[in-house]
Amino acid sequence: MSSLNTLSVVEAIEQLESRAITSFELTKACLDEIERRSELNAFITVARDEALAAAEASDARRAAGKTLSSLDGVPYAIKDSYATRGVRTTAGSKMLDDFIPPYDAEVVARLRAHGAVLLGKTVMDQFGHGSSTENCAYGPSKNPWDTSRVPGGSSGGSAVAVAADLCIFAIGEDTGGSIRQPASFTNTVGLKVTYGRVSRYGSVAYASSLDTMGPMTKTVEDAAIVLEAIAGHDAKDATTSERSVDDYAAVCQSDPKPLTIGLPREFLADGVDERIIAVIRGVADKLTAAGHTIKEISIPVLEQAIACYYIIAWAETSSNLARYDGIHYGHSTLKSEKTASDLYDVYAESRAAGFSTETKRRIMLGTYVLSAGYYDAYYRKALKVRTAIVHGFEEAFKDVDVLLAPVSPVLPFKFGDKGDPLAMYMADIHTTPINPAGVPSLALPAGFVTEDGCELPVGMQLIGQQFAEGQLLSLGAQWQRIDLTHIRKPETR
Amino acid sequence: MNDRPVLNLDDVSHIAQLARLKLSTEEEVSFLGELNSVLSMTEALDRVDTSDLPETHNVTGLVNIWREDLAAETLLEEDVFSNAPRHESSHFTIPKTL
Repeated sequence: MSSLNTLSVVEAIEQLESRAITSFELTKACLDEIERRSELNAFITVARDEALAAAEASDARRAAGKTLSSLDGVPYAIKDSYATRGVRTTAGSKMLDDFIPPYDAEVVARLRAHGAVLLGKTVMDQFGHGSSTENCAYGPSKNPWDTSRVPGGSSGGSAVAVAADLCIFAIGEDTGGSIRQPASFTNTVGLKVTYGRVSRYGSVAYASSLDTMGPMTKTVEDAAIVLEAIAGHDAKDATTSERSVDDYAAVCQSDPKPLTIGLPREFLADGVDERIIAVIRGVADKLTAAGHTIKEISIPVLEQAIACYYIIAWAETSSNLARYDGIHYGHSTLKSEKTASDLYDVYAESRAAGFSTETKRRIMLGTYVLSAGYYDAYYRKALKVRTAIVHGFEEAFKDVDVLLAPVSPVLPFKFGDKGDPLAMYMADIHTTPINPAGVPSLALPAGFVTEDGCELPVGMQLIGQQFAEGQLLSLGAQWQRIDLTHIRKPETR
Repeated sequence: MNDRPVLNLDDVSHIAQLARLKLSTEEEVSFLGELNSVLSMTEALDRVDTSDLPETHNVTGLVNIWREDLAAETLLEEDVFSNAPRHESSHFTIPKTL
């Protein structure tokens, strides 16, 4: 039998329920693998003692016939952007280097209530500001398919933890592709949910009208199980929907009815790696053979979506990050100085020392687009283009049920390859249009491309209407019955 | 609308002051080039005719979410101040402002 840490959520649940294994054994296998593969730098903080204690408690519940849910005893990793009571939460930044949250994020609270075991907090670009984890104060994670390449970001540590079997499942956060792009770069599954499907309470904010919380897993079915545990209305996040949570795991068990799947030509335009386009066209052929209809469509506003996304994201992050003032929590000059200085200096010096260059850059950009004289030309214009994007998707979904697109225009790139900020931003061209519209998108393995002797994963995204997670998961699960790309594992062990 | 200005060094200093970020001269010079480069990307928005479009601030359609004003458990005082750089009993301490 292969190591326990390689199990999927479905397999782990089966083995725990049949008493073939204990949560303690499963949790210890993950913790040992995290230690053995420390060169991947997937974690900022490993909560070893807490995890083993939680696993023992789970085993005791099971022995007493009092399990909390099917996920009871299943170990998981979570992006370090989620507040975890008593466990350091840095958001990847020195600004929060010693921050110990006094409460749990709602996602963490729900997983705790389900009995899932928290292994630790994963590497991320600071405050979500990045697409490679190179903007993490605790070092970047390495892509297990080729450790000279980035794993994607900002939820790169969670993607590596899933791809390298350091956990059974993980949680990420997606503002403009931060779940989907690392999933694509590591041959794993990541779900960007409908805005408001999962509570944002207790997640360190990047851009509040775009931020979404979701699962990162080894299979589509696993993503469905985890989503069911974390989704639903939360009084502490007024933007969550009161719509009922579907039985996502059940819809994965049977094929969806034949669907019309749109292929937007803007996602296959010049500048997209032709090898990636070939993989996506191959997917379209296989989906056609499975009974679905592929329809090439056009959503012209997608070409402008990345500019709209970034203006809104900069604006919201400059506002959100104003809370780091050196007064309430986080890095502060007040900690080191005996004599109190000027209040302005406490703000400006604490922030200058705590934030990275990239985070300062985004705060500067956001401050500028919101400032007097420029608000109309940048921020207000972006809010209107956002309406055009929403309309663009609404029009498309009159003709098709689901959209198929590549996740990234490029293969996993090498460390340092995108040192220019604009080049890094443009790598998000396929993922950023989704968040301003609030629609869900499921990223999943589509195929492989060989480059420099390395086999590198290519991901696709299935995009649906708001709250169509069930439809996307059903189609994704069908894909994983047709095509077994997702079971391939990196050999750098 | 191709009248977006190009930033100069004074603009960068002003933005940094608004953002409460103490930047070195080297950082300001570096940001000057980068901000102008990145902002050039936003010219794409001019290609979208938005004259008849309203602004979208949220995509959920939810408005005015109310709840009952009920007493509930909340954080303990010691938890609230546990991460504060300086505090005295039940208040944050800051430098003298007047």
